[in-house]
Parts: sequence; C-alpha cells; structure tokens
Amino acid sequence: MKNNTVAFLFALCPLVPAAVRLAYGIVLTVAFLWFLLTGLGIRELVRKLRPGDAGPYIEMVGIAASATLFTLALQWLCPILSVSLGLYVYLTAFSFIILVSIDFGSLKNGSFIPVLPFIPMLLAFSAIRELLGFGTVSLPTQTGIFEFTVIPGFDFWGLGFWGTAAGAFFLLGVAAWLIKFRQRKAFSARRQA
Amino acid sequence: MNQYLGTLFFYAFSCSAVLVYGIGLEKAIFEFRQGSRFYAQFPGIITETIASTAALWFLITKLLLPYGASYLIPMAIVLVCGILHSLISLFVRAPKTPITGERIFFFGTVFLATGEASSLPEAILIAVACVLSFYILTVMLFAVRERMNASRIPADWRGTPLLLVTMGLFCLVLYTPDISWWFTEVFPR
Repeated sequence: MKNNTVAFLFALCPLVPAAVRLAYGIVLTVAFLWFLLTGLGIRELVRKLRPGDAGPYIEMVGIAASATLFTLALQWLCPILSVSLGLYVYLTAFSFIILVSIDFGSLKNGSFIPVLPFIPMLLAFSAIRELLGFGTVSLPTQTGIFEFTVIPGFDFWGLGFWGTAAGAFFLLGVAAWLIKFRQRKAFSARRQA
Repeated sequence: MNQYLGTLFFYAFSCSAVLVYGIGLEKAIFEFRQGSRFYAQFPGIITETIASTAALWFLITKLLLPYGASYLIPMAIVLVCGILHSLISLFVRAPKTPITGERIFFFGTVFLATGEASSLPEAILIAVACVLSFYILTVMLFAVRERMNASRIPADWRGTPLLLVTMGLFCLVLYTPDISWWFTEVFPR
C-alpha cells in the first residue's frame, strides 16, 4: 500500500456521518469484522468459480447478502440501534469494499494489513467525536445505548458541534495535519542521524 | 412542482448525499486532483443512475415488497446496477477496469433513492440530486485546489488536511439555507 493515511481516509469517508458515538463505532466495527470474514469466503468462492469480468459483481452481491444478514442479526440483538444505523450498515459494506479494493494485493496474499489497523482507528475516531461532541462514552445495549458521563456539566459549556458531520471533517483535517507533521519530523530526524 | 423542487434541493444541497450520507465522498476527494476527467463521466453516470432507479423501483414495489422479500433488495440493487452498468458501458466510453469508488457511488445513490422515496418521480429526483451533489462538491473542490496551488500554505497543511477542513466549511455553508432566518423570511414555506 502506497499511502496508508489516504486509504484509511477513503474508507472512513462513508462512515463519517455514522461514527458519531462509540456505541455506533462498536457496532460498525463488528460489521467490519463480519464483512472481513464473509468477504474472504466469498472471494475464495469467486476465485474457484472463475466467472471472469462478472467476478467483482458476484463478490459485491455476496457482500450485500452478508450486510443483509448482519442487519437481520442487529434487528434481533439491538432493535433500536438497527433503526438508528439502518442504512449505515450497508455503507460500512461499501467502506469495506473501498478498503479491500485499494489494497487488493495484500488481501490476496492472505494478509489483513488494510482492514485490521483500520478498526482501532474507527473506534478511536467515534470515541473522540462522542467525547468532544457529547462529553460521554457509550456502549451498545439491547435497548439502545448506555452512556457514561466523562465530562460533567457538558450541557452547559460543551460544544455539540464536534458531533456533527462538519465537526468530524475539522477533526479529520487536524488528525491528517498531525500525521503529516509527525511524518515530516521523523523524516528530518532520520536525515540528521 | 414545488415539492419536487424542494426534494431536489434538499438532497443536492442542505442534506447533500455526499456530505451528510458520505455517498461518493471518497470519489470526490479522488476526482478533485489535477488531470481528472470526472465531467466526462457525467452522461454515463446520470443515465445509469436514472435507468437503474427506475428499473429497481418497479422490481422492489411490484415484486419484492408484495411477496415479503425486502431482504433481497440490497442484492437486487447490486445485480440490476451491475447489469445496467455493463449494458451502458457498451454505448458510453468507459475505462477498461471500472474504478471501485465509481461503482460504490453508483450503488449508494440508487440505494438511497429507492430507500427514501415514496414514488417513482421522487426516487429519480433523489438519484439525480445525489449525482448533482457529487458534481457540485467536486467542482468546488477543484476551485479549492486551484486556490491552494496559488497560495502560500504551510507544507503540513497542504493537500488532505486543508481539504478536509474545507469540506467541514462546505457542510456548514450548505446547511445555511435550512437554518437562516433570511431564507425563511424571503422564501416562506
């Protein structure tokens, strides 16, 4: 993979609107792992079938079926969260396809390089957004979400803006700047050594 | 008529499919680079999107929903979109290897349109608005890139970081008509 940051950013794009709370981030992470598991099986099946140009479409139909199964399981386990996240489970499937297609080579060799490091990033992104946007940390439950208040008095002086899509873009921009800054510092340190 | 215009503006601007739903966001980031010929794809994308939305609308409302097979909708979307994409590619010049982001944007648009509309004209309008929102954002990002190239920006902020912050600002700007007292006074509902 040429540039991890860009690949992760592309994969994170469809999830920006949904990853607003840690509870949602956890559900989307489980969805991601499920797609990874089923995606590997589907890819193996497609490889054995050798359908030619239709291969990517068959693979995508398989991922769509996998997303439907996950939605049905979510409706059974967390009915309220399944309503809030409805469309975004399918967008997570899109995100998975983007991530896998960007670094198709590494997955083909049996390495999960692009998918596994993306998961902590997704969790950290949703946790930071929730903390800054609501002052809480939440976990998924059968009746919705369970919130722990981390920053007391957030209702009085907190800034809910960070929980919105616009706030998420600002946070991602700052994160991308930090990554670039650190990479440049590390590069210049190596050159001086 | 007003209702349809409202739907078009809602999904193209204030509830932009790209910025609010994240559909086509990675494609917009990818296409804003120098040398991109995203405008040349417009006829193909719009034809595919309208044709797929119309075909799927009938499939979903006349076959899948009446027989209680709503769980087959995502698979039907991918299949119908894939078949129409291949058919339209025969007439419209397309790259040899279809780009993943393009396919995802196409599927996402049709998925959103068929999921949120209550009638066929509304579904087609939502699909067209989604494509419009992508093109509007990409053109704006093009302008941002031109401006960035001509400006003296700290090296660490150049490129992706500044682009993301700009998209945050676009989000705020596109929401403005919905919350501004000026718009509600001038264009009363």
